[in-house]
Amino acid sequence: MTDKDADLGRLLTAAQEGDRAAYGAFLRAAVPLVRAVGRGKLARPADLEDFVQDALLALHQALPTYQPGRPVGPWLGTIARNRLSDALRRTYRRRAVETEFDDGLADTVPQPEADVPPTVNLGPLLSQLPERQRLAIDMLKVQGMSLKEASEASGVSIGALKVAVHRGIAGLRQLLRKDVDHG
Amino acid sequence: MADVSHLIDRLSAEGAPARRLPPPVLRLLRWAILSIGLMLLATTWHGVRGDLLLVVTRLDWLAEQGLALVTALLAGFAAISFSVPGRRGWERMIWLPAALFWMLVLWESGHQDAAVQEMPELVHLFCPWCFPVISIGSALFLAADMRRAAPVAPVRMMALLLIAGGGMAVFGERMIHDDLDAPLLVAIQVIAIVMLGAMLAPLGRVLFRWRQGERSGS
Repeated sequence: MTDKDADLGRLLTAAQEGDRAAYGAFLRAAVPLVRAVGRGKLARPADLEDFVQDALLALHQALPTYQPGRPVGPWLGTIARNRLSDALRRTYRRRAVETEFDDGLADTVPQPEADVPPTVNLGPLLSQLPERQRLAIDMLKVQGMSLKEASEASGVSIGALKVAVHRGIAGLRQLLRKDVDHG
Repeated sequence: MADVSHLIDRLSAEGAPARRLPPPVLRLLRWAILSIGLMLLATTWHGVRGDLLLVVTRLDWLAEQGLALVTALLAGFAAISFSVPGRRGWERMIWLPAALFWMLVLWESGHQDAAVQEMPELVHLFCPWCFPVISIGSALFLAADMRRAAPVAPVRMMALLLIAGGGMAVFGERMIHDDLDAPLLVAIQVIAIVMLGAMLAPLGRVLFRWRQGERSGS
């Protein structure tokens, strides 16, 4: 058992006895360890944050199962990996739904043209985006091409186009926000 | 990050002395006492088998019964170990050698006494009263204990819980009935229990769940 593990063990034992400060300190010390389990597996920061919160709640529920004197690392690691597998399952399920939606509709149906003229001139903002993102937004959102048509025209895969549009829109949103802040 | 800090503040503010679970061996002992109590209850209802004093002198019968009980206890121990995060791997597999040895002893007994084995009709594979009472009862005792622990492996916990309960029932049933001794019959019972355990194991996800606490910021 390492010194760090022994310290965590002492905090956890005190937490089991009702020491709130020790419990808070233990949970704070556990966060980086839990985060390390999820990092690299969960791509979106929001998913990683959800996973960390889930794992903390699980630690709270599993608190009575810790036996004083036993190493904390395997105890904590088992709980974190268990919550990670559930988080990954949720992520895959969500991705499958998103892909199904995109493949079923967005790939085949041309994007409708906007009826309402934009109140903000996006031209200068678009030009600030990287080439690939600008092209993807231009083909899919301005010209109204379907993903299939845009992929054939540009030679870029459908998946890469989706990513480029997603990132491009996020970039535009940031640029717009800056624009508004600066008047 | 602010959400995580807020959650930690909330959880630590809720902190009260936790009712620490006893070590797995003590939990197993408690479960064994409850299950044997249930068997005694079934015995008072049905009475012990008439030839009990005779069969306890037979080494093969004692070996089979001993292995049935040991397999049930070790499966229970494995189930309990699964409910405690960070336990050693061997604790979860410990029941397998006992189960295999039990099967081997049954095979050997069946092989030697093949000529005199009498297989009851298929409808009498289990006692319709003793078996369900002991198996379901002891499985419920174990489930109640494990629901207080951490559901880190709910499917395996459920499978082992059913195997432990079934093993207890095979042991108890043979203390009560004298027509369920045929090794082939016991082997069929064991296979049925393992198959049922595998089939019902996914229900563990329903029985053993993490509580969905309210997350910060969600």
